[in-house]
Amino acid sequence: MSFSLAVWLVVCLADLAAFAATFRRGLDRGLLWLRWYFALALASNVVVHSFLLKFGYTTKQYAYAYYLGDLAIVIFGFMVLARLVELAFEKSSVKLPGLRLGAILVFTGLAVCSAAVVYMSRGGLTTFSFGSEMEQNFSFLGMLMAIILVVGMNALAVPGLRFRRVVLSFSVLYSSGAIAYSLAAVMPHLVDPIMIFIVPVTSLAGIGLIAYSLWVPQPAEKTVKERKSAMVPDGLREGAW
Amino acid sequence: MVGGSLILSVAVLVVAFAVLSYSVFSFAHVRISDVDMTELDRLRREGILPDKPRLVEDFDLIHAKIAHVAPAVYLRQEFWLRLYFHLLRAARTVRPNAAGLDRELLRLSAYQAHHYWVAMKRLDALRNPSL
Repeated sequence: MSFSLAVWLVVCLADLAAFAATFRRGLDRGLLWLRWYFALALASNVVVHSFLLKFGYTTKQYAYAYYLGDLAIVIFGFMVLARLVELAFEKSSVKLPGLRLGAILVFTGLAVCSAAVVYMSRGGLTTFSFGSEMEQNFSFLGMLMAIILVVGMNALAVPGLRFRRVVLSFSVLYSSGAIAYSLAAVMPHLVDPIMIFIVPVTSLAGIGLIAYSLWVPQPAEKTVKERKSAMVPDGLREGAW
Repeated sequence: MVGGSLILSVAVLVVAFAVLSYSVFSFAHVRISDVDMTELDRLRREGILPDKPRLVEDFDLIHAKIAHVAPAVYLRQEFWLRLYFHLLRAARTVRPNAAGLDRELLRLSAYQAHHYWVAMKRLDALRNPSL
């Protein structure tokens, strides 16, 4: 078995486990969007690998399939995250009007900026450079969006443990992706090992965490009184350190 | 390169590392945020832990007790617990009066107390099989 086939199989299995987890009973309706996300991820993995087998690693066809597939997953993940934001705050008293419109505007703006940066720096647009720039920018944007959401949810004590775990998993997925792409940018001589080893590992870690968050049962939400029972008793801190 | 700039790429790298660290430790925090404190109280009531609560020593004692029993009852201790414990201790040296860190350490001990009772239940089942 070749290394690429082994990596592909492991990533597919992780996607499949996460996809199966979305069929669990009692899953929040907002998390059902993840079913489409993982269906897309699985389909993309199958298509990209079939292009690899048919055309080879160095062909244009494989490059098109890889960047289009990866970009579709990253962009759809961004949309899923926007939907999660909407649903998470729906349960709280905070209202976020125009969130969808805002997400679409940010998406469009980022796509235009990415195209402009590539066009100005390279004098033209190619699938490789535009796909790579878009992927990198959306990883960074997804990371920022996820972390703002986490901080907001913590600050406003938005209920939903599973929601928080899923959003944190997305944050891990996007931030580790952003690390990989910026490392490749800072150290161009390490592009190959980063793309071959680090990118699949970070994807696996993110997908694995999402699958875990969906599989683990959600404990009942505690009341304010119960939460207060977890406070440190008086006098505990004396001599503790 | 991000936007064709090396400085921007390094900035993205630093921010991404900070976000990744925050996310990983928030994941740990989320796991213990709803922990049941009564299991820690039970350890104290039954004399397994000393009456006077100590944040660090209590965690270490429960951890050692679980480590002693765990292999016999096929219980694997979660590796992130120890890492998170050390991170909290390090953070506590930077901010010695942070009540939030103390609370987090207490929750960590309570989370371990739950595992201790799981281990004891399994040990009891092995010693006294019902069949």
